[in-house]
Amino acid sequence: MRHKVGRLLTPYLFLAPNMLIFGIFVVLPMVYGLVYSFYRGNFIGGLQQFVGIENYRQLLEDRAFLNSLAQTVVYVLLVVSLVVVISLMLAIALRTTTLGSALARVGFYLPVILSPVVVGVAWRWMFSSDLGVINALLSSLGQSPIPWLTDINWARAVVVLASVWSMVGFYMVIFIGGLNTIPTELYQAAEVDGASPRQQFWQITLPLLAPTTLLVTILATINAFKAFEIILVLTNGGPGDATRLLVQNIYLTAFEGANPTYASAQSVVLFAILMVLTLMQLRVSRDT
Amino acid sequence: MRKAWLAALFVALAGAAFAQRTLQVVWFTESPTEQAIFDRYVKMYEAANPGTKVEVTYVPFQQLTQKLQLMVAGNTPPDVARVVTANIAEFDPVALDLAAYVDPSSFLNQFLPSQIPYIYRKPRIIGAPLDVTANGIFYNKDCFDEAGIRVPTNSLQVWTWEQWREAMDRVRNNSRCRFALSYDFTTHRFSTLLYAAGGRFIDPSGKRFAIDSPEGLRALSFFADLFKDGFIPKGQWLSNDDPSTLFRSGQSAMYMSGNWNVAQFSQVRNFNWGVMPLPRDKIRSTVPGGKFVMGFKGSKNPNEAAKFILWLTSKEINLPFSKDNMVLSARKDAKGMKYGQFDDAIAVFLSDLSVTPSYVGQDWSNPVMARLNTFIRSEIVKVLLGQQSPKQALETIQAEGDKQLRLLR
Amino acid sequence: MNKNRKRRTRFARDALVVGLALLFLMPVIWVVLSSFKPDAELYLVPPTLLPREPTLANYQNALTVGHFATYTWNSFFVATMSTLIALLTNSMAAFALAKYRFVGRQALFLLTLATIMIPLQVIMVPIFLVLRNLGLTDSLWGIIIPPAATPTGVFLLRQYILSIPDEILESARIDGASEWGIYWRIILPLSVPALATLAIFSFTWRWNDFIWPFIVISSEQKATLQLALARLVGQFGVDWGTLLAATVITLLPMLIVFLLLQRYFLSDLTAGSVKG
Repeated sequence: MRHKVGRLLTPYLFLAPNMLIFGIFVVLPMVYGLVYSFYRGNFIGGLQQFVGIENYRQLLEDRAFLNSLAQTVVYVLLVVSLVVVISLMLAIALRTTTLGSALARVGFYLPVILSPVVVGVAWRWMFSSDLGVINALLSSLGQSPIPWLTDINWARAVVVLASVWSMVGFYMVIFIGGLNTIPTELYQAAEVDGASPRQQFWQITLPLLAPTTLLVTILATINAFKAFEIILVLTNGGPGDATRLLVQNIYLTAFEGANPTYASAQSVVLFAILMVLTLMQLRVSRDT
Repeated sequence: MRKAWLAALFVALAGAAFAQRTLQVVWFTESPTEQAIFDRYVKMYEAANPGTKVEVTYVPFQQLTQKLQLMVAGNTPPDVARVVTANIAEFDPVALDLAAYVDPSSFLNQFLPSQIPYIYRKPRIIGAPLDVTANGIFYNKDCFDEAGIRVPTNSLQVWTWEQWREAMDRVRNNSRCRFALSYDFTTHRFSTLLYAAGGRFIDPSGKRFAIDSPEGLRALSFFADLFKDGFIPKGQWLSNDDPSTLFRSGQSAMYMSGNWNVAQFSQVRNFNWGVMPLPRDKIRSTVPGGKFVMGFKGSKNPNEAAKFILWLTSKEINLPFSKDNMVLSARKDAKGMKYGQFDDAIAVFLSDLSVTPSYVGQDWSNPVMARLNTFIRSEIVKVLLGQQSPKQALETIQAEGDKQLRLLR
Repeated sequence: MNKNRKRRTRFARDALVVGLALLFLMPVIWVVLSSFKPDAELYLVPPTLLPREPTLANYQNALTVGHFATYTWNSFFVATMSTLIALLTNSMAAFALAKYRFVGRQALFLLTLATIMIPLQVIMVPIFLVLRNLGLTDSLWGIIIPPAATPTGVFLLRQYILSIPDEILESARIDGASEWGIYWRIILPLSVPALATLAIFSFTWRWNDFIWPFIVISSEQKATLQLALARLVGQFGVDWGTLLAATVITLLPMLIVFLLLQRYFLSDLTAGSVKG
């Protein structure tokens, strides 16, 4: 009997340290944030007045907020689809044990160990309109320079590319881990049956990789929604506010606009979106 | 081994037992050399006050406001912070009142009148001025010589805007400088043009915005044309390119910034540079600003904080400190101070400051400007991107400004 | 003949992927090369690829910024400790989520997920309040403990542990092993590749972290490398040469850790242990 109670408690005990840290340092501050979002206040005077859902109502007419939300959605769609496809391709191409593959894996992973600031700086050096290498190269080839970071659409494209560049190595590693859990006997059997590599991919790799793909999609979606630091260094949200995403908008509202409670309401919305998306992704994967 | 640990522990405990007062100072960084100078002065203070240890937290300028906001919101404000004009207005409600430590009128009387609106909220004194800043234009002498253009050196032959534009065109086409003008990406630097055109942000009553005016339109249209005609490289206002880099590397003939760059530019070896008086339109004007030191209500050592602030802004310390940093002291008795090889450049800034109307400082000491900085800048950027006309931008800024002024009251 | 051709196509393939990786790394290579250029050469038009007059001046400047040795030690200490804690707590949590059925498992799983959905930047103020109340401000433990419970770590490990067959655990139980014993003697050793992966990730995150140190640390003796690096971007202008050199220096330890551990997670070693 005692043994059984012990067994029942075991998982909770294993979870306790992690949950304790989460609870104190993340969940508690999140709850604070939720409470803030129903108040008006600032850094100096603290919470001053309970305003109910006023902050949320205001969000619906806030052009800066809606604009950054729309831009974030497009950004996330592009980044996540590119990241999933490219990192899966890299994982399949580079999982072999040759020296070349090993070197290439290190190469593609390397950007992951750079801090976001460094990624931003490195891409600026390449793409700056007036001092950048690429434009210098173009003009030495007699081409006219491209307004990489000063034109709205080019800047958006560069921001997406830089983000994908900094992330694919990470997800490539996760995919390689996933690929390695697929028993090699399956491929051997398929080869005996005369299945082409393409058939093997669609009929063995992809279905058996589904849990990993789900994990990658969820993590990439969440991380893309939270994108902030690289873009801050690369374009600072510009030109104008063309690459200003949700987190930067929240950050500006809180600190530069000195309006932390209104910013809290925005972060609650961000959280709600991510929660719904994640639940949907989990649901879809369970149904299929 | 164990003994060593015990000894270390003992020393640590003993240190704690005879705890000195620790004065926490938040200091934003401008450059590494400047940090070394401040460290030296901190040592001097500690030597003169054996009971006090000064602990300096160096913060990157971009994160200064945020760090202070965090500390204030957490009820753990630092004892002393170095701040710029926007911050001192924002932290006014939690500022340590220096009036309790000094005779107000004789204290204020030490400093230049232009800095008083920032620190004096009758009857409270919420900080002390460290130095005065003035916006101004640096230029690459080699490029202007190459293009055969004579640059005005004193206030008698100041360029008009039209002459200035013409010079931009000539220097860009006839010298090794690829670009005519670098321009800091701030509302503050843009406002140099606004004031020269005879405009202002806030009207004399202090209750309404005044930027939607013919003068405002003149300034913004002139500015937008400088981009359209390629005089200012677009990247500086559209993609966060660092303007000072382009000037320091000798590719930009002029740089609209301010006197605080003098120390840094003293390291420039690849060309000769100078400072020209700001071109005039309707009037001559620069934009005065400054850095301040302030204490905070509810900090651990308010008395010691006041003492440190008074020490740092006293004649004996502030004059050599300003000289070491090549900045303009905000003290009246700094008049005529010599800086050596940069006296010419500094004289130009001082001359621009002397003709600047007093409402310019009042505009920028209004707390709404701290809130509106980014907003105004992004409305200007929309003009540069062709998303709206200068007139539309001014109307939007006017409306938002009026709204913020109302909220403030 | 056939063997020769196979070798040749393999060689061509290797050359191709390595070439692509190099192209991919252009921004990094550019940063490294530029860090050896004197200031004047940094802005040359057209830019030089290889430094014309290579210099170590930028590195000298970077190494004399403030107390470089202190920052490095602090960063190293924080990254190492935080990684060790993460490995322990995350693997325990992952084990529970992967191998037990219990009330509230779904909810706790979602809660774990939820914690990465809020960017730290937007809850800075409440975090600061919590840390202050716990006396963790301006303490290295304040940047070691809170980020150690990485949700991503829990997922990675959970995914991996799921693939460990239940039969191994059952037979251990029949042999009388305790639950802790199962975790410690079976799960952990079998998860080494996943743990190595997480170690690299976690070390990277903590080493590059700016936001936690920025919230927590205020004294110079406790500053980390990333805080010092951020200060090189002054109020007016950026000291590019020093910044690039400092960037390369902060990269080196990461590179070493990565190369030490990479054989675990970038090789086929992972396949062996878990095949069902």
